[in-house]
Amino acid sequence: MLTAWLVLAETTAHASVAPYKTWTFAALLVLTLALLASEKVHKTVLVLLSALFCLLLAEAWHLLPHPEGDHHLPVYISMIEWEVIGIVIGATVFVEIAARSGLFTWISIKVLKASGGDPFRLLILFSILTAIFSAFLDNITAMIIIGSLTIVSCRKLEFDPKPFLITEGIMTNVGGLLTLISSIPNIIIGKTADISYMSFVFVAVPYTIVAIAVSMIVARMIFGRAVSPIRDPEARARNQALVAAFDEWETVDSKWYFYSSAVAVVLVILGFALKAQIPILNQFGIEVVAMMAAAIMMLLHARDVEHALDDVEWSLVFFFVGLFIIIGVMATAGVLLEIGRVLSWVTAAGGAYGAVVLMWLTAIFSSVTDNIPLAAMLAKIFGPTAQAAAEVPAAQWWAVVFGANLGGNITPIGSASTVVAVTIMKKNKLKITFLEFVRIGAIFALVQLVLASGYLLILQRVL
Amino acid sequence: MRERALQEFESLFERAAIPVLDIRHVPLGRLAVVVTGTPADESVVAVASTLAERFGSTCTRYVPAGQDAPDEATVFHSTAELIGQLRLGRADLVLVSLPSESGTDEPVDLDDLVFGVAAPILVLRKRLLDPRSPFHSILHSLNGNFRQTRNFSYPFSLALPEARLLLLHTIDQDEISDVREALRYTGEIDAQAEEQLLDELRRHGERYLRGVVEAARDEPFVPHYRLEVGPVVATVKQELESGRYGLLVIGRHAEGLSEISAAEYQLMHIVRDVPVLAL
Repeated sequence: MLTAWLVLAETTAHASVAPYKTWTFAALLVLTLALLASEKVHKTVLVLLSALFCLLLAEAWHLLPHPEGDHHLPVYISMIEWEVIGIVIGATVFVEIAARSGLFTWISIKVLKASGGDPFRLLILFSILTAIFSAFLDNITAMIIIGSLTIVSCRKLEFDPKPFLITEGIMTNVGGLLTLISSIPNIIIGKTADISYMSFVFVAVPYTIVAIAVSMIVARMIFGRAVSPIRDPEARARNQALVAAFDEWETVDSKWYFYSSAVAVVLVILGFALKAQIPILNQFGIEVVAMMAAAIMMLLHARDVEHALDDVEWSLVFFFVGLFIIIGVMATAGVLLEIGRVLSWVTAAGGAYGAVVLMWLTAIFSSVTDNIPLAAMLAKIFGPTAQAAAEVPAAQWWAVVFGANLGGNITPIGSASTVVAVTIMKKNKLKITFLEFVRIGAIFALVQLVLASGYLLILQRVL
Repeated sequence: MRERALQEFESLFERAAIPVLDIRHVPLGRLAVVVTGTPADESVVAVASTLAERFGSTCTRYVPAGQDAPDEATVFHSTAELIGQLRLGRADLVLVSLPSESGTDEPVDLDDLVFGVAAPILVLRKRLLDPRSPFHSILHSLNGNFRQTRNFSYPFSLALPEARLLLLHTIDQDEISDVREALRYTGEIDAQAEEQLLDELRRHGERYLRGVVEAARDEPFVPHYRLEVGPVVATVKQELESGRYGLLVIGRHAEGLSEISAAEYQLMHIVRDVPVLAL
């Protein structure tokens, strides 16, 4: 399965890299990933330093290509995937301004009211909402909005918020599968594999719906009485009155801001979905839609421009810059080629289940380390060039997408949203240990990964 | 940054939830009855007796000097002296009879009494056929001041089972006009902002009233609420003209501070057909 791209990948690596050089860079990569997982040093600083060191060492060992002529970019600039950075910046600015309009808090309260204050309905509705929000917002913002409302509403309803927060943290990762821009691994893989927004949605939505439904059954079994429907009519009436008393408009400062943001969100989603059909726009990448969305929002809400730009996760942007340089150097030094060989052997050993094996490996790695470098590295390994990427079977790309997104559910540090869920619990003095989370998260992840395995096998036949 | 965002969103949602009002019944253990030689004297005594029976209260009677007074009554020579006596007596509720006709010399200066005594004051100006009638149907006029929470304790305590209690919250149009005029000079308000201000006041009022109704879930009566925008005095008067109410409750004190709005001051003086409870 991987032989075609291996041939192409060899062309990316420097023609005659001495094995000791490749192994030195491999050791540097392992060290960087280990330090990333340990979280001892800020990840952006670590990656930038590592990128700088890799660049200097590669230059010293004459591994970096230096094209002839006047019109070329420095080698480290061309290593950076600017499309990914464009999407991240554009989407963050757009989401920041839209989130300030109160649109998402308004929807959240409406959903809370629709639950009627029943724990099981609340769990289901908040889980679906978390998944949908994380499809259109970033996972952290989605978790912060829903998590905060969960705390406040559970306080009023006298529910234990822990089962809700854990499930929501997990659901953000499931929702992260929904669209091409729902999570960074999706953006990276989608860009490399040249998957369109709508193709992504068509494949991801059926799985996500089934995964959410099954996860709700799992949640009901794990959390038992804490999320059981209320039978007592008096208690039901009381809870209904409590949630009905929430005022969704209280979270909206300006109705103009609110309605214009709602229209802009719809238009932007349509823009992402229909980009391929829109003349001129179809000549550009999805990052252009993201930047346009940000520009429209800044134009509509000029007052919030400075705040929104301040809230762009610049540390994440610089993290990407460093990460892409490291991966570029690793490709040049032949490290990715070696990893590819190992992966090729492993997936080949899996036979018809090669993609499934790849997904499980990706998930296990994602549970203990950042899924972004993993996705970026796998994207570079499988698709060093557009031609190589086109040769890779679609199921293999989806294996990485499923593994990278769902693996984060196994541990509390596996994804940013589960970290936020745990932070909310700690802030509210709700005790949860690492193992306690793993005991619950692993069951969810296991069920979701088993479902994804079956789905991958179907995809292998269909795509 | 996450911690800050979490805090911000949590506060936002807390604000969106209606206030949980802790409305407690007042014991009404001590009643002060001020009879001033008016046709309503008999009724004020009868109302006090009814309340004393319901709450097991003790009644102290206060009578102006020069009038026939029972032996146990305390005699006062001026409103200032009465205020001093009422303060010493630490009454939970003061019941006063006053003349029904305007322009008549009043034996007690109501304004001084209202500003001088912390306890709520129930003013009767007309004879009542049934001393329990004020507590069958109550109109509570509100001005949206969230510090009025303690005020609900009195109408909630006084209302009889099955009583009708209407919370009428009037957003004072005159006040909005004043704010608009003032802000227009600074350029800080336009038509859109004004509409938004009114909308905010409506929503705050609605939340507040729903909070009160929610707090009354276990009461033997069902409170209703209505939100109006307009001049307060005219709106309340119009509602009273329906003839359905036996008592008008108006706000006065805010956590022990003597505060009274112009509208409430007016209502206290012009409403004479039904008893007025100034909280």
